[in-house]
Amino acid sequence: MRVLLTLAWRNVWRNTRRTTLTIAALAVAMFLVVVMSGMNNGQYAQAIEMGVRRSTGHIQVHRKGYWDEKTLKHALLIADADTASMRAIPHVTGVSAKLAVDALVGAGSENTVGAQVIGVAPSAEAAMTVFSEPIFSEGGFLADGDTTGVVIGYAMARNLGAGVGDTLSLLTQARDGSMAAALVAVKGIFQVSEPEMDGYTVIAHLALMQEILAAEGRATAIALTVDDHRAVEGVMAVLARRFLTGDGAQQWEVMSYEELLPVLMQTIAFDNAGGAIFEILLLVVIVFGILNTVLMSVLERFHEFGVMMALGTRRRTIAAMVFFEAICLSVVGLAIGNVLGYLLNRWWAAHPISLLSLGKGYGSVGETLGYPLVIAPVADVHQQAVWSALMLGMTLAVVVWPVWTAVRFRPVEAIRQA
Amino acid sequence: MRGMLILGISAALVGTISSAAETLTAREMIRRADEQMRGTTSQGEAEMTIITPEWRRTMTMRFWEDARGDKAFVRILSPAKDRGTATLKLGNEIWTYMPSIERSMKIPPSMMHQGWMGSDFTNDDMVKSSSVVDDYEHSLTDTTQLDGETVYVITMVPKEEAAVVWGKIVYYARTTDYLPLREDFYDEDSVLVRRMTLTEFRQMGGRVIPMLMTLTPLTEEKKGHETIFRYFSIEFNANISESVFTRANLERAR
Repeated sequence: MRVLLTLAWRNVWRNTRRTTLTIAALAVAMFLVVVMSGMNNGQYAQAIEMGVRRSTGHIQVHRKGYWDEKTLKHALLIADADTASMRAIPHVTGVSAKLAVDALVGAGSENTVGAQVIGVAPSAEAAMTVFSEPIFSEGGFLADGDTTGVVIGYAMARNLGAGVGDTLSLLTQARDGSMAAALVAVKGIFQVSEPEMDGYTVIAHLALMQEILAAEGRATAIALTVDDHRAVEGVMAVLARRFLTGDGAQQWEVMSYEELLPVLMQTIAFDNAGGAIFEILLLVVIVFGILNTVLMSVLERFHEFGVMMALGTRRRTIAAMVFFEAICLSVVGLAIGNVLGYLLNRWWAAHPISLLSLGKGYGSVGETLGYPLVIAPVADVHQQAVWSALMLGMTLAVVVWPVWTAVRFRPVEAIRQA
Repeated sequence: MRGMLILGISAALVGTISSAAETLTAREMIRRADEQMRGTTSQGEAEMTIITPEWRRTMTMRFWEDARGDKAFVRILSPAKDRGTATLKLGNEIWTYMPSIERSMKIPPSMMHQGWMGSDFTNDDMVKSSSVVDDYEHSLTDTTQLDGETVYVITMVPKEEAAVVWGKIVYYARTTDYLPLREDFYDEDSVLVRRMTLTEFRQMGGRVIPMLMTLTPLTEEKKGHETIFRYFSIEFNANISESVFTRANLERAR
């Protein structure tokens, strides 16, 4: 076995130039695949992070049924102890209770728009969302005592013709079915580059919404953020243990950002599939390069194989040797490509390129589309292992042809073929 | 000679009309029923009870309608919490006034399918109520029994250009005065989505009208919901001052 490997390794290097070129091609292809996947991973991670920080959080707890039918009848009764105990779960960085309702929002009697009004506790919400960031073109976020203030998106402000300091009226239906209304003052106008948020969302104070909606102590959702998205499952398990069991009076449901941001997750899956097709095509081309190299080396060695067989080497051994040669080529190429790609991803992640630095044009395009503004790849060793295994498998599959070619003849025939 | 011809055609036409249904065309039945229930103007007091699985509310109101001018005004009288809340309809537009904030707001087109005052009647029902005659093609499709009474079944299919949300409406008319006993509303996929049942036909304001209208949504998400509308009093064809149907009246505090 060892001898066979040594033999294969030496055979590979009998034609240094051809072998170097093949390995280089394979290494470059693998390197590209790793870096491209890394950049996509980075983009997806940022898109998710942005979605999470805009509104949903990594995890949400609702009353069962709320997500399918977002009405006040599914508003949870929450105790301060609940949010406090959620905040104490390891990895949890923010907890914010929200009370959301569809309402008619008006500035004056003619300018009205249907919108979602979300009541939040300002400091808890700001701590885990974009509202702590400089997204305000006018004014700023609510202070904790601002019970009659709201912030709205720039598109809604434009549609309503409202600015900071203006009074808006909210009209909706309370939890008991009565009509609910409130006058609120615009404290800030934000832009988060998400049409739904910028055009149809009003952020108000939780206390105000609870009061006008006859929903004291209630929330339609509790959103949580974690320090690392890989901690989401663990935190969800803790939440499930703590809240999904116990008294059956309140049935809670716990959802991750994957369920909360279905459109984004679908977009990512679709984009990922497109990328994978391109990467597979690239690898297929390279596999044919390896096939070519191995086949050529077999074709020029018929005489040698004939002699080996004549001296008593079994066909099986020769077949194994050719396989090993192909594996040597692949493994060396894959290793170089993987290591270089991984190193570049890690280095790049530490030195992200801001699209804004490329000029104003790029930044504003990203902003309008709500796209991540930074190129920062994320290395994924598991993903690299999958790609490498796939590559090795494809190589072994196509190398069957040169192997069969090598052992096809009887010794005398093989010697004559040369 | 020419006069003879015209006479002949007219006779033939008269013949078809009178034999069509012994009585009237389906369209004419709907027109008469609509006229009988609404008059040129109407005003009065009514009560609306909204029932949902979670809560049940009853409010009383005073209403004014000018059917010809396509205008209506409703002021809530009770409960105390909603007292003074008012709705003004002018043509295709609706304003709502909330006394608690002393503001009126126009309902945007995107919210026309929301319930009016939290009921199962939509804002759209308020605005489009005048179109049962003009916006549909009517056909008398059957005669059947409903609650022991013989009724005409009139199928109303919206005209192509009409802005109607229903796929069709099936109208069960009394044979005597064509007033509806029931109206079934189907969506564009021909699924029965809501039913209006009209009962307690009484003489009021000089004509017979149903005192009680029950609207039952039949979709899964509205299971257990129902809105019951009952007239206390109604007066027809009185002169209603134009100042009733104004924004100023809407915001008048009371």
